[in-house]
Amino acid sequence: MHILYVRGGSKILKRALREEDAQSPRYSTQGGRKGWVGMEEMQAWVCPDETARAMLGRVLGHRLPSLAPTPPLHRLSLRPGHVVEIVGPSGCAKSEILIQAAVTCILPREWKGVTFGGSEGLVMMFDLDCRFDILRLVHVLQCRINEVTVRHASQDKEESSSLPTTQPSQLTVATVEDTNELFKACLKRFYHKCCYNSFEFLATLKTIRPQLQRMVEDHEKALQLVLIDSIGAYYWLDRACQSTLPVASDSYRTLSLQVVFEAVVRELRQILQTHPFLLIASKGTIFSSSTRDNPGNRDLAHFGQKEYPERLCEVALNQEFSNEQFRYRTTTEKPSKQTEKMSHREYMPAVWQGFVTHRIVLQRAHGSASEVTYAVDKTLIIKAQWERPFLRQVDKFIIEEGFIKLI
Amino acid sequence: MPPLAALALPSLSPELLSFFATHGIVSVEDFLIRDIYQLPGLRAADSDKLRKAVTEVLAFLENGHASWRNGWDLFNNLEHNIRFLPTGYDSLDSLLQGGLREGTVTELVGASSCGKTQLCMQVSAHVAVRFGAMVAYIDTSNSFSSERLEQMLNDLLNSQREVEKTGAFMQALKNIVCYRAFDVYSMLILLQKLNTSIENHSQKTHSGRLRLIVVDSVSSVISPILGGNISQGHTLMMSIGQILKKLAVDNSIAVLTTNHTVTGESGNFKPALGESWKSVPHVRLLLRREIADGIYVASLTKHSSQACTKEAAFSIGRSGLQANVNHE
Repeated sequence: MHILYVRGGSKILKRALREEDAQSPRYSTQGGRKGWVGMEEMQAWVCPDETARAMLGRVLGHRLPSLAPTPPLHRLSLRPGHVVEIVGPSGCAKSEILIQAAVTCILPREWKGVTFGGSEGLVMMFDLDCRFDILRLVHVLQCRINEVTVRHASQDKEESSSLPTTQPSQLTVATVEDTNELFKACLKRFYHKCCYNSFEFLATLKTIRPQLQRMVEDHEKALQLVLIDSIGAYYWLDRACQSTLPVASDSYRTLSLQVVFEAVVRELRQILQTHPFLLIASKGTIFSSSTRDNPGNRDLAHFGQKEYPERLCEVALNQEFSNEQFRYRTTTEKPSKQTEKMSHREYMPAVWQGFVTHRIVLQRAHGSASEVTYAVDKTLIIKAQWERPFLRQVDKFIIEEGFIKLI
Repeated sequence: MPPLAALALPSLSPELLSFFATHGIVSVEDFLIRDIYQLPGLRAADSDKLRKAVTEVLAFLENGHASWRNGWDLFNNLEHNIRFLPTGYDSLDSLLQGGLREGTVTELVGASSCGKTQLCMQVSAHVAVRFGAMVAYIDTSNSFSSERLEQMLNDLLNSQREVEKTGAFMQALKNIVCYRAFDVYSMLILLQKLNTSIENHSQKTHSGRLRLIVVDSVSSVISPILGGNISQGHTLMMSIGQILKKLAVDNSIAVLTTNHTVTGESGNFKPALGESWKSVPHVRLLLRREIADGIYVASLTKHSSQACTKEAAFSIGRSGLQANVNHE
């Protein structure tokens, strides 16, 4: 049995009903008469555009690999145009996830016959917290390059083990030079800028076009990833911002958090139109867990999280029939009732919340992050859960050397 | 930021300024938050002038800020221009990959009498002697003691000959400048003044350059203004955090701050400056004192480039931090 997926179904139905009202006989084998519907025409309407198989092939064929496939962002396919928000308290590896995403982006897909699995694009980082550490990026990049080259070398060894090894030492030297060259090329695709307040951030956004043009021309690569660490950095400063100048007219808009973020979102949207990129922004939770429970606080994060069937459908549609998602849904056992929905208190203006398309929430697996724990946490386990679109699964991961590993 | 008229750009003609003013655009901030090309009531003839003016204002703004830097430049800059300032105690230095890094904010968190001030003074002494560099020591709780500093400097310079010693000693004392600020406003004024004076006198390359700013303690001026339903306190706190970071990052200065602890709801200790402040320091060291043993332990709880799993134990002697006598 075939299940047909027909485009424009409602149109057919409306027209068929109208014809029914008009007169009978409804169908004519000749067709073509005015006001009558021909049999072939009718058949053409109900004829399927494509089978599900063909559609799956089409959708999967066009699907580009996710721009940020590293855990914990691996469950969804993230593409240019998406705006991902990573929410979590301090010390939950938010910046680490950004760095991992950046490294995946700046690495090439393939370099001298070795597959690195990156996307060879440009990365721009707005460092609003001014805490980006190039050492960490370098370390992660080196770990990735080393891992791939070691694996590649061992594969080569296995292949050539039957043959007598001629000059193994020379081969390794060549790889070291190669990796240095690769390392430099990768780092040059990463751009960084510190900002100290929202207006500097806005000025940077407004002046970005010529810079971007130059970067794209220099590298002949497209901008793929924009990182913001962290978007809520100036919350307290912007909440207090006011213009000290006299009000000049009725159209004067007083400066406020809302107005600042309207401008930020507008500028980002404008840049997105000409340079489609994936935007990943981290957002610290500035209210500690104790203040979150205050009854007076509006807990927007809880809003709309209930799992209605429609929501699940929406999630399924969002996945674009990606078969991995269905596999996850069926193989993971149903979480127990205790599985909490990881919550946080939203403090960003609605205009930013509307701009965000994906949101993932991070939390430390045990212990409260806000307390001083006098024992050194040797195994820091972090939980991650997608809040938008809502996925039930809670991933746990640790950071080991230069990698994020799921456990 | 200044009013647009104060920029004195030739393309910002009086007509254009008055056109902006009718739309409420007076200052640079107003200019930034509006979509200039979408302003209603612009005559077609003026659109070219407007475009020219916008380009000029944006170019002006771009000049005022640091430009985009690629990862390779950042890495090279770090390798060649950025130093680690040793704290004077080897285990702690290895915990911190070599000491306090220039261009970062390091924070010491601990209850009182955990060695926070001792560590601050010791680092100041070492930077003043080893690098001959200037140290700005901002004291907010009257805990800076010149007698203690003298002891530390004396022990540091002990190996030198008597003649050289006095000169070096005097020079080191001159290098450490102690400022006092007892409330958040005088602290902000002080940091602003420091920032402008650094901007005006471009830093000399070798000696006499300001390499370290110590704020002991930052929490004692901020915590009184926090709390309640008013967000003003948080704004002031983040302003201080912002200017400390700016001082550190823009001028490659190491900043060392201290944060005391308070009792939280469940009886546990927590830092006096909470969640929002956590976004300020690059490195956070937690200091604790083992009961009765005279042993102090420093553990790393936040670092921008390494895992936080290490600890260093020390005791405090006449010359400052030293290896733990009982155990080693």
